[in-house]
Amino acid sequence: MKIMPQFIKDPLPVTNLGERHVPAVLLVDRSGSMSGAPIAELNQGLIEFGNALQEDQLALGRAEICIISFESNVQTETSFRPASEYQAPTLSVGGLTALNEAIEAGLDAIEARKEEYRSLGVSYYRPWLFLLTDGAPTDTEKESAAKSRLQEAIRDKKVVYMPMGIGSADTAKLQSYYPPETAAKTVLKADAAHFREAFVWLSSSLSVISNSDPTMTDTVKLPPTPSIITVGI
Amino acid sequence: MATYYGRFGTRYTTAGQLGSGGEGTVYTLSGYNSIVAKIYKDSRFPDGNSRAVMERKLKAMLAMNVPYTVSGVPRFAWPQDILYENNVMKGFIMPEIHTKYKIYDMYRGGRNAVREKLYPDYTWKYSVQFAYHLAWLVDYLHSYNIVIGDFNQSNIAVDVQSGTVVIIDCDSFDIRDPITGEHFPCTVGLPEMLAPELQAVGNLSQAAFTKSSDYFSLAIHIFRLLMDNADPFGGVITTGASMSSIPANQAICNGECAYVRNVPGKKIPSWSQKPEMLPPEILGLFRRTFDYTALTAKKNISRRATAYDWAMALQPYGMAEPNPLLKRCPVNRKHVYPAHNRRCPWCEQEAETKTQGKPAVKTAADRTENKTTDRSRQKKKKKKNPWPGRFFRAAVVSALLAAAYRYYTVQESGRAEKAKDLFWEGQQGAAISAPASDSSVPNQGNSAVSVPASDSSAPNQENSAVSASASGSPVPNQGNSAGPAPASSESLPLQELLAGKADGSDDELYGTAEEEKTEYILEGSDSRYIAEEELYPLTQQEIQLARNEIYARHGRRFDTDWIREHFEGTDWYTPQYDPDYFDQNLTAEFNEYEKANIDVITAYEERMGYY
Ligand SMILES: [Zn+2]
Repeated sequence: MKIMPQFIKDPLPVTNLGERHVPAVLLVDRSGSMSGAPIAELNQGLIEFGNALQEDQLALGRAEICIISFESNVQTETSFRPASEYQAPTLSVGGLTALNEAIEAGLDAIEARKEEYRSLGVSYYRPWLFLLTDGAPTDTEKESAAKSRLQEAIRDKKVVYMPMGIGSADTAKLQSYYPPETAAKTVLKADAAHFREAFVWLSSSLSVISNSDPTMTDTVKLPPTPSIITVGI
Repeated sequence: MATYYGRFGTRYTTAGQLGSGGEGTVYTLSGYNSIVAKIYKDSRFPDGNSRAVMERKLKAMLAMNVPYTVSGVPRFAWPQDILYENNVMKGFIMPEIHTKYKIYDMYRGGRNAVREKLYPDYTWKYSVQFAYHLAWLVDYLHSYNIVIGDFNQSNIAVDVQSGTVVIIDCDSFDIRDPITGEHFPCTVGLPEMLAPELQAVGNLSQAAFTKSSDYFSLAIHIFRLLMDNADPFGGVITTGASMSSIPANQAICNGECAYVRNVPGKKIPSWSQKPEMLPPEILGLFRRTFDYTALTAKKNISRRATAYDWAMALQPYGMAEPNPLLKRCPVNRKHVYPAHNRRCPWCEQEAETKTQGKPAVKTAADRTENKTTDRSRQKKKKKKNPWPGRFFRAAVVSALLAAAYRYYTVQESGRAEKAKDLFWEGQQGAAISAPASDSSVPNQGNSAVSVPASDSSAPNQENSAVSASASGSPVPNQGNSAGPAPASSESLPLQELLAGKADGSDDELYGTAEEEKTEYILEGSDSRYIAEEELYPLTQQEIQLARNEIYARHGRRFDTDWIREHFEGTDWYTPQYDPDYFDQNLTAEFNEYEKANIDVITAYEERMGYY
């Protein structure tokens, strides 16, 4: 059952068309297990994310954010829009974990935005797909399709996959969405209490990608992670 | 709070943190107002040697003793002292730059743009002024043999108050110790700003940054300022290839700038300003810098417009209004554009983006219709021909400059400084109104560079009102008439002289230039062998005309409207022969030079993909 009313905003037009854009999708888990402290921190984190974006004006003019939440259903909270128009949604919890469907939706959103970029002649960096979840997917019947699509996208360098496990997340499960040959299957772990810092860190990741050209090398240099985030392999 | 000691024992105590970047943190200092401390992160120096090199570099910079303040405004954050902690170099002292705004805030237009908030009356002229200030600053640094190197948009701050630009991160500059001669190369850069010769270098610590590579980055900054933040190497890819699969650097490596040449598979986006909006002499500087291919990239390095070229070309357009080189749109008074445009390019741009939900795209071919040749006898409907404008416009500028020069020589015949000398010294010359000065800010006395030429409230400023007549000027026939125009209050006669044209219609403006006849594109193409190099500076249309010129000398008629009109505008052309008749019967009469030159031009056109 839906707790939130359907709230889908139309994508906003691309701004600063002559600059190289960074499309980023945040897939956020608001399944029942997120109730209590985790969802409160997630909401606060989405606000902090906006604040953190404001601190880097170059990134602000180049990044575009789309937020997709999932529980039993997948819902677009905010469609792609310039980071300068970012508004933090307030999420509430309930339901299962349609993670695989969310991955498909995230990749669809990226493809649609890229199509728009192409027709406008807007160049872009490799899109980012952030996955913030505390639990394992429940829509297992869709897992193999979503997984192979994401793996192919990673393999073809069409997306940067950045899973972030919340609390007792199944790290191995999140790693399994990487192509098997990927050497470093990074999963970032964040305690619910430290969501805020995690979002600040996401923003500074966007700044770095805005300030550097990932086509020079295959690896993306991230800023040093805050101490509270432990990097798991 | 931490305490550091300077080279000679001065004690500095940090107070608040101003900002933090990848390689260091900037702090305010207790007891000091105008200086701040940059303290390096230890990760900046992976080994003791790299720290020692930076220490020597900072010492060299202090020894260079470059005046970093011009007209009371710091123009770059030059080191003032070196900071030590337990005899280990930890950072340096530099002037505080009171701004959080960067040059990209001036690139970006639109409803919520920062620049609209800073300068509610921001117009294209402001962009010209920032471009001029930037070019001036690059030229200034180069005169001290300083190469900026990492010349990216985050390293250029905007001093809102005085309306100028300030270069930060001076410790990455490429410099040479004036005493030991040790070279401290720049080792960092932002790929989207790097010249083609640096793109190929995988590791920038091996790259050789030069004044020429600065010129390339400078041209990108100026392009973004003047062209509404368009990427000169951007565009709509028409070949179906995914844009992210084409590394951006490849466009720079291959010179894929659709604004200055026909790039197969790439179109100028419909939302973008069209290059013809730019004054021809400014577009010419972009051509010199961006019109190359992978094959000609190396050769083209020496052709790039220099910072001095840019400053001289931009300065007249940044002068205070009424400025005969600028027009203001009757519909929207915030639309300011070069006077050669018959219609407001900003209104046209708005119409373009409004009428198209899914933006259609204009091709380079659309813009330069009949691009193939007259040989192919295309009888397309003629579009607006940008050609006459170019020549008339050059003539107007010539007349203007000649008038200014005559006036100057009469009034100031004793003084013979070259414009460049004046240009150097902000106190004396370098007159251009900075953005802030237009908003009737009275206290502009602190900065001669930002004194508007027509502002009589600052009469003691010796402004070179129109000093574009220096030797570097791309304006024809002005080669040696170096000499600044009169000072601000004295420049009125010139303004009056041109007042009628400033407010007049296009026809009036163009009408003043009737005596200007277009001469040959390639002089003597019937009596000498043309070298391919002579074609490099020419546009596609010019080259096409140059080839047809050989036919025109013999009286061949032309079917293509714009080609026919071009030759009919010259005083040497006499149309005699039907094109078909000529091609079948008379081409055999071409002499050896003409035959060879047609071959050279045709081969070049083919190689450039102009067919
Ligand atoms: Zn207009």
